[in-house]
Amino acid sequence: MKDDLKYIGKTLPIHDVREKVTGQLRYVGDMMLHNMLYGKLLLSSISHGIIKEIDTSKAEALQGVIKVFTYKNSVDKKYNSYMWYKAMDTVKDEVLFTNRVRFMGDRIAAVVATSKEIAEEALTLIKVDYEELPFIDAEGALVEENIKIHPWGNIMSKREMENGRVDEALKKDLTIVEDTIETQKVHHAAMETHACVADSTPDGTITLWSPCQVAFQVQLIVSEALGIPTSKIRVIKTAMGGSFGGKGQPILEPICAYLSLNTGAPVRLEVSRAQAIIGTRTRNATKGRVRIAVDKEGMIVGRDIDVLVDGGAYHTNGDAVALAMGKKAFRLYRIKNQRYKSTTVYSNTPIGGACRGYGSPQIHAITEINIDNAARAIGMDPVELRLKNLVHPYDKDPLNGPDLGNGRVIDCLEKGKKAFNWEEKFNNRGQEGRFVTGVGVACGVHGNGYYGAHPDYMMMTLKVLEDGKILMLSGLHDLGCGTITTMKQIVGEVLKIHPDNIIIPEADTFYSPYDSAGTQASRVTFVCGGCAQETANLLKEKIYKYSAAILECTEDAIEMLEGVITNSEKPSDRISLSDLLSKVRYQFKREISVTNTYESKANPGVYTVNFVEVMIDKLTGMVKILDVLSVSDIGRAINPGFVEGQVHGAIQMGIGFALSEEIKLDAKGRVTTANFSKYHVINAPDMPKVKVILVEEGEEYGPFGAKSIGELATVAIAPAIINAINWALDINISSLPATPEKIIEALNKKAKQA
Amino acid sequence: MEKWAFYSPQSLRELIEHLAEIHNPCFVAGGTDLMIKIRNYKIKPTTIVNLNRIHEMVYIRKEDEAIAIGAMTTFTQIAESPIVNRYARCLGQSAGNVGSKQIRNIATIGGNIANAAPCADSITSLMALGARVKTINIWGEIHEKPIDDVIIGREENNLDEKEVIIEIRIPTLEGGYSAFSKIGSRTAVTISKLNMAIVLSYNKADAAIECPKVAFGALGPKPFISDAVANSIKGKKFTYPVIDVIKPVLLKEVEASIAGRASFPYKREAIMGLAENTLNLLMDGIKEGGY
Repeated sequence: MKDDLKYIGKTLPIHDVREKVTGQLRYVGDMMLHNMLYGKLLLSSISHGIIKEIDTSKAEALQGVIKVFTYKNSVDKKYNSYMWYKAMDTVKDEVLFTNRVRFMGDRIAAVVATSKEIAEEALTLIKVDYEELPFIDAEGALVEENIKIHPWGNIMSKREMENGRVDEALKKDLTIVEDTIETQKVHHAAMETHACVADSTPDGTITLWSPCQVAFQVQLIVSEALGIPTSKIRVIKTAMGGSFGGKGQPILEPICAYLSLNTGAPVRLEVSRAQAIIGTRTRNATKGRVRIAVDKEGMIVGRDIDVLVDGGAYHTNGDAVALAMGKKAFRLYRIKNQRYKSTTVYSNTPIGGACRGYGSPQIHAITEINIDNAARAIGMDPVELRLKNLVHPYDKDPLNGPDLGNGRVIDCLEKGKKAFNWEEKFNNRGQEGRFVTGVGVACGVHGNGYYGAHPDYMMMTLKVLEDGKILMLSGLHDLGCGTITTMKQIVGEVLKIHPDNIIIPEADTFYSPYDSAGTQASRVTFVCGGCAQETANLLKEKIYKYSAAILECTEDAIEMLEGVITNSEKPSDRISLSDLLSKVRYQFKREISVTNTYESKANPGVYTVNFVEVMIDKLTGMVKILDVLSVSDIGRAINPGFVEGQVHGAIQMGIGFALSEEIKLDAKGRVTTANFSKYHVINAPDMPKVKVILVEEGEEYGPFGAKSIGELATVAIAPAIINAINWALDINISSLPATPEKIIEALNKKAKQA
Repeated sequence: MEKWAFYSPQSLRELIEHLAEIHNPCFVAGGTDLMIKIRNYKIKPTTIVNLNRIHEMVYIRKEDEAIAIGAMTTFTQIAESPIVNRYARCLGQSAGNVGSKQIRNIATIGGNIANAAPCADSITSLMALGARVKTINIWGEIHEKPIDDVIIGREENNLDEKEVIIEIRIPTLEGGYSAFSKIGSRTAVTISKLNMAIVLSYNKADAAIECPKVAFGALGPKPFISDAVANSIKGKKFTYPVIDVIKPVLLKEVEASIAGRASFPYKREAIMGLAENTLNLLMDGIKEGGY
């Protein structure tokens, strides 16, 4: 399948590798504009309350402070930063600066000063007098009598979806296994904290430089929040120092634009790590009750899932995450009777948002831990139980969602089982002594864009340049994953031209054709890549048509390789792309260029299976991950090196989710883990070797058969780890992260019961 | 940010000559804790006295019955020192586990003592080793006091406003061995949830433990010496499962220190693993023949 391909399936370096490794890449935090001012935010120190008085006079008196902004002197228009197109129906509940504090981290004020240090010092001089209100957590939000965080109540949304008849299925003579599993709020931990620069002209036109995921969304949100038309707002996507969903929603951009407009100067606004942890976005915490009914043969007869999703203080995408979680539950196993219910609530906790996997890591933690418990209950190997129930290629979505396509999860599990030597390791249980090892497995599914849910199309222009290179104009955003190089490889393959000869600037709302959704929803390789392939084919047709006219032969006789076009019937007749453009311009008065709008036609499932081996210290509760095998069905790897890199990073995030990462709150809702000395990501000494196996069986609508990987790769690792711990120790950890404290507690509980 | 005066004496003599005139000095050694406190506006210094130019405070020396470590010696220097690893191995082990490599390259032992964090790894080892702290004041007087007297509580020392730590002295013990280990949230770059150091002397002829000293960190406002745990192993032989002897004593020690606190249920169990790790390290040291 790969043999006749020149650039697809090859590991090429990311386009900006030289700048990155030599430290020359300019991030937005490196930007300096003439007379630039510095903005800093004051975030609330309490989790719930009303601002009785705010005194900014001392801060304003500090030399170097230009202005202090609070709710008293700034625009008060409601918006929802999650919205990325105007027709979207969402609840708008955010404002630039609030007078009602809904979580520790709510925006109270911004200082603009001539230096960052002065702005920081001014923050300490602002006096805020709060009337504190009781802290409401997610469980508290369900209590009707509790105080309302927003006037319309503490329930954000409820969802229910069902196929078959769950209540009947669960009544049958079957083994029913019930679990309640909790997942925590986590921080994205991108190396670059949120930052942006805004500049404005006297006529009120704003230019924003932002490491964003959706430039057109930034434009829309600034317009919504400030009440100015989008034509006055230009957004330029800058180099990105990591996002993982955390920079998906515009957070600083509307504020920064406002500060620049109101001071008449360029402003750079950045947050500290502590502010990024408490005051940006988090992975939504969830609590899922799941009941599964299995028969003696291990067939899943029914499943009932009820999830409480903690949306945090503002709406953003809380409901969308709950919906996405539900959809995934129906696309991994063939379950004839299944129901998914969700209740999403407001709470006085950090705001939820997109976070790599968008609900998938949460729903898979809930359901995959439960599947293992079901296997234990009927005494079956969890791999066998899964093999009996997993979806097959070309299965239909039982809820009539998009078809699953060529979903190869069974292949993944079978290949992985063999490569991992699963059976032998799985049966090596019940070891004596302080250190015991155990293995675990989990499966996962994710999507490929918004087809079936939101408009999913992209506009793109490809044109031949004077020197024979190809320019792509499109609204792309490389988040560091290799999007630009991936697109170059796709176009390069179609045109048989080296990817270095394709030039791809990133999104700039003034010049880029519209893209309906940006870098979200695992859509970029599948949808934008599909657009690149189709548009390149259109350009190729055009090149062939002009070449045939100029070389005076049929289009069938035309061959093109590395920018040289040849008449295959008379190989001495050849012309370079550069010369072709000159002739076309002179003879035909035309450009060699196409503009195309591509609409996604599918949203197949992508699948992953993770196997892990852990070693647990029964005295200290410390877990060491010894081995990870990740097997993923991705259709086709455009750039296998990028794919492997995505998997390694995703496993690192997933181990943190499973073992150590957590935004913790005290009894009053104050964040106690607001820096990296208390918020522990997994670092190099604790990182295991990750083995990657790819199943590449192709997907009809993906470019060269490719599907997504970046989000998928992080959805199954946490439950695989928890399953390994539970199996090795014969305990039932049901709350993430599985800290040493929780493991010791579970062991003590088990000892007491024995 | 507020302006402050910044003074970098080149020698101890120069420091002493000027110290009397400096109002409210804030001494900076490695600065790894101080910088955070300044940035968070937890302290607002008026004059920062930088000790990093006083190169005469960087040394590790073996003397007759002690090793002497200059206060400005970094943890990397201590962890890599053959003298430390021969005569005060537990200190080398704790120094090698402090923070990250970047922190160890700049943080100093004197600064660590003055900062007096409850979870400071080096202090637990220094306690068990019976270290003494040498200081100098504005009159050039040198005092030497036990480390236990210098650190009086959570981030509290009893140094005078213008008293500077210049040296740490560790008595050497004939036939002595020591070990340190810690439990954090991950393998490296982690703050101790619990740490422990054991120092003892061990006569191979009759293989009985002599002069044991045991210290714990992160089990209260400051690291402390546990006589109870030490006494439980005194006179015991390593052929005997020492860990079984000290387990009940460890439990009592944890109960006495933190009973009722949220961390108690975990620490009462984890301390058993910590003690086992520390004893294993000690045995490794004995096998290798190091101190």
